[in-house]
Amino acid sequence: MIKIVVCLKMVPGKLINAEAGGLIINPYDLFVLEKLAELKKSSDISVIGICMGGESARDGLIRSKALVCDDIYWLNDIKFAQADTIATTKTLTAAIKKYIPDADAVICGGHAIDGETGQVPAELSEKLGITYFSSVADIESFGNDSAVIVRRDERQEMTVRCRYPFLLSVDSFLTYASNLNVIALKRAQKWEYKIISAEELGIASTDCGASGSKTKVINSVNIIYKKESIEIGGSIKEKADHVKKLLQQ
Amino acid sequence: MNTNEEMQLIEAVREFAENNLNDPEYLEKFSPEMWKKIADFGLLGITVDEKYGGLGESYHTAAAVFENLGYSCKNNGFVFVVNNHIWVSQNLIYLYGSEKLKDKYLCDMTAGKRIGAICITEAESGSDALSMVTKAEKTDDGYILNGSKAFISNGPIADIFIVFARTGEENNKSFTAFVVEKDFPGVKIGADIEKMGLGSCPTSEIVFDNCIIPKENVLGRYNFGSLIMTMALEWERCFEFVPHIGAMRRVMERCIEHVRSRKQFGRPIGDYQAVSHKIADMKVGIEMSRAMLYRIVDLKDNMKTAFIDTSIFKLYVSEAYIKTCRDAMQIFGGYGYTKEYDIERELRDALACSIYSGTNEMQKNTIYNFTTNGESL
Repeated sequence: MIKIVVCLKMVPGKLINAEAGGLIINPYDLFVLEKLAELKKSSDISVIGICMGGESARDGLIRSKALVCDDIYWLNDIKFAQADTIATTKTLTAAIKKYIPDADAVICGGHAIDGETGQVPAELSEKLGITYFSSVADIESFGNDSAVIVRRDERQEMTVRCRYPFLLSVDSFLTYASNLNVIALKRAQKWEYKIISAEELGIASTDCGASGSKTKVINSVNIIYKKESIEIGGSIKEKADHVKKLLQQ
Repeated sequence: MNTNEEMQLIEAVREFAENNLNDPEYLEKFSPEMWKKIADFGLLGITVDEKYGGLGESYHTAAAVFENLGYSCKNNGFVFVVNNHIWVSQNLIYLYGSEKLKDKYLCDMTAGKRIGAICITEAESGSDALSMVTKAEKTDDGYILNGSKAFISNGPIADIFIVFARTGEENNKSFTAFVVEKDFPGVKIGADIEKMGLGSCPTSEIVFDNCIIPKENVLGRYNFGSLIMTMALEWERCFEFVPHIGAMRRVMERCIEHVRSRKQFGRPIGDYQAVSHKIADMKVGIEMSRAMLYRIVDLKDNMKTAFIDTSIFKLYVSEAYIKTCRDAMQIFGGYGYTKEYDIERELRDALACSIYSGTNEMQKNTIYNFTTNGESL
C-alpha cells in the first residue's frame, strides 16, 4: 500500500464566501483531498492528514477525514502558534519523521489563500531529503514504485513519472468537494482525532511557533483592487438600452 | 438551535444541493443522474439504522437537514421525489416492516438502487380514501391484488410500491398494506401524467391485474392497514412539508433582494408598506412553521403520536408557502409572471401542496373533529 501524507491548512471561510464563518480547508489542499478520494477508488493508497492548528481546525479535519483521510495527526498546541515558514517546516518535518517515517509521498497545496509565502513545500522536501516537484497541476495515478503527475507552467505542460519518495506542491484548487458523503461525514464526527502537543512531538519550543520563528509579521493589510461599477436597473429593454449606450460611449 | 454536528451536516447538504441539484435542464423533468448523486451522497437513509446503510439520525436532525435541502435545491419536484421515497415508502418498511422485509428492501432503498412510492389514492377515492376498491384476496401462497391507483407520485420511476388494499369482507373496512415490486406479475405502470407543477416528480397510474404478492410482503399485520395508513399520513404531513419551509426562505430572500434594488417613484419598492408587509408575512410564515415543526419532531423522537399536530402543520405550511409564492409574484410584478424569473415555477410547484397529503379542507375537518371530539359532526 502506498502511504501518502497530505499537509492540511485551515483558512478563514469568509475568503471564499463573505457570509461564511469559521475555518475551511485551504482550497489548494481541498483539491489534493478530492483528487486522492478519486484515486483511492482504484488505487491501493492510504492517506494520512497532518495539520497544525487549534480547535477551530476541527470542522475542516472532520471534512478531510470524511473525504479521504484514513488517519489524521493534529498538531494542536499553543506553542505551535504564529509559526513562520521555517518553524512550520520544522514542526511538520518532526511530525512526519516521528509518525509517518515510511511515507511514500508528501503532498502540499502550493499556496494558502490567507496570506502565504509558498515556501513550506520546498523547505519541507529539503528537510525530509526527498525529491521536490513544484507546479503540479494534477495527479494521474499511483503505482507500486512511482506516481504519474502533470506539471504545468506558463510555457508547457509535462506528464512526469516520479519515483517515491517525493513531495508535490500542487497549484490547482477547488472550493467544493464532490466526493463528500454524509455517511462518511457522520463517521468522521465520531472519530477520535489524535491531538499532538509540542512535548509529545519532542520538538523544542525554540524550534516551533513564535519562539522558533525568525520572522514576525508586524502588520497585514489586504489590498483590494476596486473597479468602478454601476448598477443597471429597470426592465429588460431599459437594461439593454443602457448597455447599448455604454458600448457606444 | 442546531448542534455543531447538525451544522456540519447542513453545510454539507447545502453545498451538495447547490452544486449538484440545480441543473436548469432538469427543473421540469426527472434526472436519474441527480438521483444517483443524492444516493451516493448518502442522504436517503437519514433516519434509518446504520446496519441498513442509513445515518441513524434523529428526526430533529432530519428536519434541519431537509429544511436546508428545500432551501438550497430549487428543484422542488426532485425534493418531492426524495421525500416520497424516504418518508412514505422506505420509512414505513423501516418502522413497521418485518425483519424479513427490512433485510429484503432497506439496504437497496437507502443506497438509492430502488425507488419507493406510496399508493393510496384511486380515481374514485381521493379524500374519502377508505372507500377504495382495490382488493387483495388471500391465497395459499400469498395474495392476489386487483385494482388501480391514481396520481401516484414517483409512479413511473419507482421499483417498490407500498399499496393499500381492501382485505376484509364486503362492507368491512379492513385494509392491509403490501410491499409490491414493480416486477411482480400483474403490475402495470401508466404513462407520466403532465401536471401544472412539480414536473421533475413523475406521476402515473398504477394498475394491479391479478398481481401476485408473496405472503411475507404484508407490511405490518394483515387487516391492520388503516393503522399503517394513519401513520404514513402522519409522516407525510410532517416531512413532505419540511422542505417547503426552506423553499419559503429561498423565495423570501429573492424578494428581499428585489425590493431593495427595484425602484419606483424614486424609491426602492421595499420602502412601501404594501410591499414590505408581504415580506413580513413571509417571515412570520417561516418562523411559525419552524416552531410547529420542532414541536412535532420532538414528539416523534420520543416515539409519540403527532397526528393532529401534523394535520395543523400541513395546513399551516401549505397555506404559508402558497401565500409566499403568490406574494412573490406580486412583488416581482410583470417580471414574476415571465418564465425567465422562475417565480411562476415556484408558484406552480407550491400550489399542489394544498392538495397532496390530504386536501387542506380535509385537514380542517380533521382538526375540527379532534377539537370537538366529533360531537358536532
